Amino acid sequence: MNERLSRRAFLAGSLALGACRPSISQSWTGGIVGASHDFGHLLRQAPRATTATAEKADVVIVGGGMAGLIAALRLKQAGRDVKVIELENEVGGNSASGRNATSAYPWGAHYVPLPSADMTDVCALLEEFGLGSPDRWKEDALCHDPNERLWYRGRWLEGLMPSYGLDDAARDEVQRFFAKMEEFKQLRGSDGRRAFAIPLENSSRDPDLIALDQLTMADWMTRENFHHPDLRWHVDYGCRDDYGSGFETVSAWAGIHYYASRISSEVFTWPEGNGWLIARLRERLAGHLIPGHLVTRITPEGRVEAVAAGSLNARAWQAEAVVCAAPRFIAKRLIPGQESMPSPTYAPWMVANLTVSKPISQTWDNVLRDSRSLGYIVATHQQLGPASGPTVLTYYQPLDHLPPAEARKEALAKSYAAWCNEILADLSGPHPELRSHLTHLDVWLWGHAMARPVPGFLHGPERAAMSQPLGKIHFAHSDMSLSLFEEACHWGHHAARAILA
Amino acid sequence: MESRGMRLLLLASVFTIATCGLIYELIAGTLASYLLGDSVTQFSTVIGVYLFAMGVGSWISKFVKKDVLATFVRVEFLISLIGGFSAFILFSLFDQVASFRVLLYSMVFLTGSLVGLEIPLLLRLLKDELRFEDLVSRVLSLDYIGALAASLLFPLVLVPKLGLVRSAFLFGLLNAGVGLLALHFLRDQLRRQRGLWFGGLLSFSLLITGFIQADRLQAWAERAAYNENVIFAHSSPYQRLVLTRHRDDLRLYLNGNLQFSSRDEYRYHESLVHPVLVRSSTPKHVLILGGGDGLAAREVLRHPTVETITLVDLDSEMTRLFAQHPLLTPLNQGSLNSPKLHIENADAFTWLEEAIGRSLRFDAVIIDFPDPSNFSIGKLYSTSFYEKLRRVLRPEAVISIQCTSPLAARKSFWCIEETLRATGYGTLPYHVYVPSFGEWGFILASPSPAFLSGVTPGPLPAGLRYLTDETHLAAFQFPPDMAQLPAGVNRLNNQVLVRHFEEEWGRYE
Repeated sequence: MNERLSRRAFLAGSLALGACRPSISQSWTGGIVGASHDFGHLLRQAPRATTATAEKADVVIVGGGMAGLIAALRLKQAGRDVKVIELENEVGGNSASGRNATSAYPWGAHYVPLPSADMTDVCALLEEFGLGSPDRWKEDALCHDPNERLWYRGRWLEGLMPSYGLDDAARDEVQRFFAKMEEFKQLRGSDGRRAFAIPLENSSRDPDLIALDQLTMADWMTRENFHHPDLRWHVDYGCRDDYGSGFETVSAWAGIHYYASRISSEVFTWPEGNGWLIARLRERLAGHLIPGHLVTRITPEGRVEAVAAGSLNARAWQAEAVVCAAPRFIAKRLIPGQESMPSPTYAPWMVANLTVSKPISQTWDNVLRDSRSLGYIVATHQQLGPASGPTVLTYYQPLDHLPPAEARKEALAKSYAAWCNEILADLSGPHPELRSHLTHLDVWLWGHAMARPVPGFLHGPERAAMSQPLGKIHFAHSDMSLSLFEEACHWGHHAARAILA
Repeated sequence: MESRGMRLLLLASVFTIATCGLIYELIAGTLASYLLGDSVTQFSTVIGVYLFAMGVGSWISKFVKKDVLATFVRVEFLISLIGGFSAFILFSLFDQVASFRVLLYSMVFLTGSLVGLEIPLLLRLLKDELRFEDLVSRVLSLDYIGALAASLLFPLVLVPKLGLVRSAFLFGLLNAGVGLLALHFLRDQLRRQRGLWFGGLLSFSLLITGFIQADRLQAWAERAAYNENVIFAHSSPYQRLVLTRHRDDLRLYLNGNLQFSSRDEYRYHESLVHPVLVRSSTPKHVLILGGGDGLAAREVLRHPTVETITLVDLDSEMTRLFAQHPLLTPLNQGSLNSPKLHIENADAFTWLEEAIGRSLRFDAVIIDFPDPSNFSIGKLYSTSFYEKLRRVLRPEAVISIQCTSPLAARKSFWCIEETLRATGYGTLPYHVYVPSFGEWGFILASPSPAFLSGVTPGPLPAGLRYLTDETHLAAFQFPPDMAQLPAGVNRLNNQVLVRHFEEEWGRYE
């Protein structure tokens, strides 16, 4: 309790300081925005039963992120009556997005890789949203060319793998690596299933392949004689991009999955990122969403208790079935006696949105080589008109330089001005003029952005236990496998099917 | 006393001269990289030629038998003029001379030889003042220190603060200053000084003027790059419009690219407009995308069946200019003020989406976009664009599209054709010769694939200067050097057209 108050006091204090003493050189507006840390932290207290009379309900879904909303949609379409309870004022979870006069922009997940035809749940959902079908996807929503470039040694290179300045040996190594990944793409395990599939559940359980989950990606690369720093950077970048943790942290199975699970390199994207998909789900679930409510307790018998954000009024439902679509670190505090339930560790992230007065890149994804950030994407990239006006850049940084708990603490303590300085210094290499074009900068801190696929997690007993239902409670969240849209989609369908069965 | 003064002066000159010499070399290398690209090649060839020329200059110095001091002063003034004006001259003549490289290397060679001449002359001037070992050690060390100063100053101060043109003038002034100081302090050793003084002061004042007026000169150089008199220049939010006139020839440039020449634009616009309209039985509602100059509209208005023309052009400055400017309205015969025509200033892609919502339908569409030279314009040649376009077309509609040169950019041309076919259009490509552009390509397309091959063209309107039944039919024949080849389908997510275009037109730059 004390800790919470002091943090709040500290945050309030630093904001007030910022407001009173605007730095002389700062010509933009903005601040630290983000998830309701304080309201959410009420959960640090043990869940206490309320005596509120329970309303009768059919299916209650706890958590309005991608998995919860997809479960809700499928259940509703099957004729069930659903209620989605969400802590924040807007549903969205990791696919949260914002909008200002310039553009909509993402706060988290911002693309969906083109699914292969065998990913039937993903394909069906995208088709329902008017994005075409596997034989003919709608071109407008596919990321327009040019889609990625790399800032390396003072210049922009097309694509993410530096190709110049490599000697023959390095070139051979890079080729050997990608040939190996191509092999993994085609590979099937002894059980006939694809070695690395999406959803992850469809992957082979061949022990030889599962063994790759026991060592880190970095160790695997060393073992396979992949030593070139450019290649190792590329793999580290990939792991940080998808998992929020570098290749020295995640398992080789997860690292290879990044390269070997997808057939196409094309992606769907929208100005608001995956917030576009959330908006489609929200339209279809109108009248079934209960935002601004903190769920405080879920019982295996189907009772769900919550308090409203403003009034702190208690409410309760007695449901036929519950979908717990909250991340597991929260879920385990909601269910009495389950505090020690298996749960992954989570990577913290910082995401910033920068509004700038003129366009600075024709490319969608702009990656910085020598940086702790992943670079930025351009929200207005999919615009069909001429790119001449202002734009919004979404800047991503996994906070993996420290163990997650320390990184979280450091991030929460850092002032807005300090974040601005870090971000602008990082971007000053490729864009020395950026400061003078910046009109607004918001920072969002994700304390628990995504589950970390450390060795032993994906193919260990704990994750297997995570997907088991508990009485009337079914679980659906991408932290039960990998933090990808497709995995959230899988778990949403999985929970809906289990309830409908 | 006097000789000590002279020694110091001459040694200071070595330093200045060395700095100036390297600066001219760096300016030439940088300019060549800016204008010609490929900085590695430009810098190494410029440095190579420069150093070689210095060798030549040093060798020539032995032919200076007498009046060493006067020659040295003359060389200073010459360098100050050539070096000082080098950036300005190279900028302004870039587009004007047949071979820019010949000019570039001649200037580099000239500057290099004169700089190469300086040091041997100085050594000879100083040879009686110092012992040989002192002389060589001082002159050469100052020379190299000067080079270091130049190489630090150039990227850190000169380019960012002064720019290339003004930096060149500044160092020209330093060279001229060295000459004038030598002239002043060593006047006792010189006969017939008047000519030298005159030359020196003239150089100095020319350079001072250049230095002060550098911004204006740069603008003038831009004008000179168009090789004609600029009669109108304007930067709209989207592009730079420049209108030039040379005798009776009016030319429009958008961002430096020629859009038309009044001498032969009729060939282009007759070919863009009439083949499509004579294939549409009674065209009533015509859409023009791009074409803010009103020249395509002028041709459309020759068809009496046309009731409405909708002209969609991004740039309102452009359409206003061509609706009002007294030099331009005779060119488009006031087409933009025709009661049949109305203008919508919008981006074509955005406008199409809106037009679909308004349920607009057209009998004929004329697409006159700029060439696909960047990703923004490339989108207007994509499957996505043609799919949207289809939704504002009547089933028997025909469209025509300007498609860059099938000779200079063969893959680009056929890429557009392939893109149209991939979107379900029937196509009929053709080409004409437009002298100011070269061999130019167009494509007729219809949303019903079989329609175009079955239709018999109606009669051409009277009064055309280029198109006749014969030239019209001949336009559909493609010789082998422009024949169809597979070039891929241009989609928003691959933009192959822009890549072809860059590669193909890149060869002509």
